[in-house]
Amino acid sequence: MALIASATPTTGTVTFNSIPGVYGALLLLGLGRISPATTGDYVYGQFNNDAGSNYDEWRLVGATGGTAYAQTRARLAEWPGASAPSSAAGSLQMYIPGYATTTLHKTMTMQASARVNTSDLQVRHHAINWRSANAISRIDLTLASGNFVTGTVFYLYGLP
Amino acid sequence: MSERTEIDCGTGVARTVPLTPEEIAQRTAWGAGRAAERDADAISTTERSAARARVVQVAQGTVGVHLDRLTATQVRALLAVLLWEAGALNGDGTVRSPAQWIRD
Repeated sequence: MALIASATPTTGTVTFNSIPGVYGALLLLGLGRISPATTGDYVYGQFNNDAGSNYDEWRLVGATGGTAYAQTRARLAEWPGASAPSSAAGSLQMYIPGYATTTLHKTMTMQASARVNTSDLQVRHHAINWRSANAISRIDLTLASGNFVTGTVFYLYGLP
Repeated sequence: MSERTEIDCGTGVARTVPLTPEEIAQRTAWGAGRAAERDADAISTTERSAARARVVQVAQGTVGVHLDRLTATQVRALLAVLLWEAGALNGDGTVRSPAQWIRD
């Protein structure tokens, strides 16, 4: 496993661009917190700057599931905001096999955890589908409002 | 919110760039739809605790009762247990939209 890049953003979006297509899979790891005055809010993802209705989601949050199809972005984690307990953080890890292939659409899994309230530790499991056969060369991680705060880190790894 | 941290994975160089008007509009739209998105999401742990306590309370009255002797109220209480297990109840005891808990 090789570290491709890392980021410590304090902006509302972090972009991994020009991802080399030489690996078998990507592993994206993150730990962070966000600035909006809320207990928690979503971190969204897009590939190759594609804002079309090409993202599908199957989620399991705690013991409850749900679906969302043909979305304009993939919903990933819910991370704690300014109203969450002090220093509470959220994490995410996303595994993207075959990201550099150009025949089939990309489907992947994402797991996340977060402590958004004193007695609310969440776990999420998402299946994410991107309706594109293009190789993934760019990943954007974005908030709908506010910024990632100091201490937030993302790591993008390439797996053989 | 108005800027983006961009890392070039080829060079490792990071830079901060302003969002384009299209990106700003997109994020504004995401924010506008967030309430519905959150509503469609799973209930929180705190809400789950409240719902579970309510279900346990209504089901407690069925303990020791033979199947043949269950009243309509007790059957409803046991149904609540099954709905709870399926993730079909909100924290206030109301039934969630089927789209939120019926698996594909």
